[in-house]
Amino acid sequence: MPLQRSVTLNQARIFIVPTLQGGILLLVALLILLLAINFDSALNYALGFWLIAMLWASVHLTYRNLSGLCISGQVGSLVEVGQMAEISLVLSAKGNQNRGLFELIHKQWGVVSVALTGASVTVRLPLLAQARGPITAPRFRIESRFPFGLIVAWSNLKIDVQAWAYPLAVHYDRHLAGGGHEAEQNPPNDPFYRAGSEDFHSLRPYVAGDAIHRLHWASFSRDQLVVKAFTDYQSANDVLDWDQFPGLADEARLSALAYHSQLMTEQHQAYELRLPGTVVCADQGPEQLARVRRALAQFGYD
Amino acid sequence: MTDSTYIPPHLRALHQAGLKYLLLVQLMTLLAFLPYLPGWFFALFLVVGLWRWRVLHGQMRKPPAMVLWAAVLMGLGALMASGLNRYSLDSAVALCLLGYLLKSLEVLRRRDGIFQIYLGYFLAGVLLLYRFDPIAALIVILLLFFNTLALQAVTAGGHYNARYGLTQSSIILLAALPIMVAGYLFFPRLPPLWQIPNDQRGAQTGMTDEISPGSVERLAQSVAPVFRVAFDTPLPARNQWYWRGNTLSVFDGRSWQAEYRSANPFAWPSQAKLPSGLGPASRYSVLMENSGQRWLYFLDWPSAIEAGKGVILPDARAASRTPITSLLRYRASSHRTVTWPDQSGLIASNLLLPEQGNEPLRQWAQTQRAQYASDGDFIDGLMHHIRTEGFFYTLQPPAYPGDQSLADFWLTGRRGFCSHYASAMGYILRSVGVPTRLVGGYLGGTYNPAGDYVQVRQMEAHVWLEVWLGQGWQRIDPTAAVAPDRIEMNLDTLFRRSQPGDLPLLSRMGSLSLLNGLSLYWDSMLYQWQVLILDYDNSVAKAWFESAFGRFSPLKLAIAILSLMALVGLALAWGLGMVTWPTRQREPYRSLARIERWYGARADAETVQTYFQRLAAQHPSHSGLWMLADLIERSLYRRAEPIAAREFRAARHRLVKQRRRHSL
Repeated sequence: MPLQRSVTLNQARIFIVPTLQGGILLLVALLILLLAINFDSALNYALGFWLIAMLWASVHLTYRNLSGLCISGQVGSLVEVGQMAEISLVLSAKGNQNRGLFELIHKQWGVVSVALTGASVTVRLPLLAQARGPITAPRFRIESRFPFGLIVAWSNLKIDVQAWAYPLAVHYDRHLAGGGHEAEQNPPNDPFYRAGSEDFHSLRPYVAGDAIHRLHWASFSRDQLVVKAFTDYQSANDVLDWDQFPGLADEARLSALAYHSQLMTEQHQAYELRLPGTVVCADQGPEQLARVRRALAQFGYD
Repeated sequence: MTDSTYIPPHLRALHQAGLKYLLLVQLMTLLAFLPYLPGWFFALFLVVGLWRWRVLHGQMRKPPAMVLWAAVLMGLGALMASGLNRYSLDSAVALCLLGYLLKSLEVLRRRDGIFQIYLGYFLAGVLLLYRFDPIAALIVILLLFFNTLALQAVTAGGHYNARYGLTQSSIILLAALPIMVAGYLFFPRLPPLWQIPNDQRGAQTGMTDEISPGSVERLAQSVAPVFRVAFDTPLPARNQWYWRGNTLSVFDGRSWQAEYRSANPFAWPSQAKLPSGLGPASRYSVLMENSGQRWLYFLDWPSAIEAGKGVILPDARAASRTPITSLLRYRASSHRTVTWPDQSGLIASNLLLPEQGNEPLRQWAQTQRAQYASDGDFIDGLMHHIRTEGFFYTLQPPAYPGDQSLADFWLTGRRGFCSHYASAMGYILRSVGVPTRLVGGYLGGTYNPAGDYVQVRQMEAHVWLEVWLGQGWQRIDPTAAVAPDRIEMNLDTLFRRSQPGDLPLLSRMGSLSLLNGLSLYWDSMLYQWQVLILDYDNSVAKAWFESAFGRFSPLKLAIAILSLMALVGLALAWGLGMVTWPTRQREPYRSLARIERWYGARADAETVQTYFQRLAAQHPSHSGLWMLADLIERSLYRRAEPIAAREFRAARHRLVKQRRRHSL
């Protein structure tokens, strides 16, 4: 069957068998019939057949829970490799019947149970992101034993919905092709350097560790310990490019890009991402980081 | 979310709702069984309930194994001490309930809860072995319902919802009803596969095969019904309602015993003949309550008996070789005058008396006999003696202890119940050489006009005599001499007028007419219940089946039951919203859909008007299109004037004709 984003369960997809518990109830019913035969007890015939017929009726009740149930994939989350991704599915059905508890079972997450008491309900499946790229929901089992546990109905489903894992950030140096003024000139471990040293921006209270040459001496005379804060006005088109990491394998390049995009976001810089075939326009902040990470995650999978 | 490892459902922990329901059904089951159990079971329930209460409030630890074993051993010991130590159904049931209660001490997982509920279902079935009246049926339905609710609560775990549980339990029980009825109607009634020894369901009640002083008076305290008789022929005269059971011909000086005893049912003769009747017969069917005894009862004297279980015995009656533990129905016909088959083998044993005891009575008998010409005259003389010599009929006679009891009664005490008169007179007649036997049975009964049957209660227990005077056995009832009214009326009616102090409290109140009417009505309901439900065998259903589908065969039955299941299943599926009937489209959409089927669908963004214009241009000869277009537009845009469906139908019909004409 082709992968579908949304699956509606019908008789072709639902399997239904009595559980062990149901089998034991049948045994109890037969024992009661034995009582009826052996003690010539007329009403026990009725009781025995009643229990057997209940077993039969509960086939309908359990089947009803799954019949017409629509399972559709919603969104998957975006996480770093090694973390838990989430895929959300929506269970919905026509009518507002209480369909009881469903269990979504797979080795990867054990069991996730959800009760559908109204028209629809959202359920999230946790998945471990093992490698960069798409994380698809595995073929899982959705089962219902409601209302009495005598019968189990189930279906095995594979829904087309993905979460994405972006590469783990790994530090590699960028090799800037053009005016490479940063890499050589900057003392690499001065944190204030990129935060700005060119234009005076404002005054802020002194914090232990601030460089002494940044003290605002005019204020010091008024018994205030204040430092000058500077900002850099970065060139607007700082670019993170696939080609800035020569000699690295593809995945390593993606990891390096992830590292640098994270770094730039921490430093409130705007930047642009260029991958072969994909460009993420220059911007800054967490939204940009998410866009970049998604691009990194999806690279090669389009 | 990753720690939600999959636990198989039966190993999951029980939740509050499930535990509460388990406690409730336990209480209900115990209350239903309490009349058949030693009283300490209720105390046990309280202890168990207290334990449950702790569990409900968070003490989820299992009790140590020591405590469990101690509880089991104490329970077993108490059962032994209560006398439930033989292999019998009573002991098995008590043991089962003990386990049912003690199981609560360790019910913590779903598996344990389900086990307890299933045991509850089974116990409901066991209850039906003890009682099977309509009230018992109601109790069992209640137990079934609450156990099913409990099953839902236990299997729902933490997702229990009271309303959902109630509706689902009701649906499943109601949906199962038709199949249950079909199974009940058609399943063949099989003979028992094996016998449970020492079957002690309830005590044995009713007349036994031995009559000793006091035994009949005890029965007279009970208003429990023994059997009910429905006559096909007119009711016989009230003073002829002698229901014979055992004949007692072995006298040991104190008590009379039957020749065919319950101790040796397999030594009974099997090819005995009944007397043959003269004159009009009374035909009737008897429905016996389960008595635990083996004796069947017949109107004096039966000439034909149809009783599946019964063995016809030489003393004009039948008995069952196995105890009657469920309802028994049989048919017979009786005559007031009969000619007896050869009785020569029986007569000699009806003359035997013990060598010793009651000598004064023997001498009295022999002197008296000398004054009469014949045995018949002597018997009349004895009856006259009872009538005139100050004998008194009472339910509370003095005890006549010792081996002179009959002489004490006849010569000095003169206060006694029917058995006293019968055994004294039997002794007197035997000592003068008249073959005599006692007959134990019932005299009288209550006619129930609502159900057209005669109900006979334990209170009607009676003992009389049969003597052999050459041609046949003749009935002699000394009670007719001491209390002539007893022949015409029941004991409680008689005593209520003359000596109400003799009666138990309950029967003294029986005179209230409303209560009487109600109890008659209730009894006729019981009778119908017994005839229609309990005594049902599948021949009735087979007859229905054959009248509808021809000759009965298992294959046909299977097909019929499967189709019934399919029908009920379909109804259920529809009720649950799984299938919907194909609905008829309403006009004008119905006509529009038809047109689209015939001429091809409307194009994208084509209005109804432009669509019809296009069609009319393509098919100029189909003038019906214009009519339909007009109707459709009018019904869509002029809602105030609804158009009847038949106008659409007529227009469509016309169009169909035009299409046919122009396509040829």
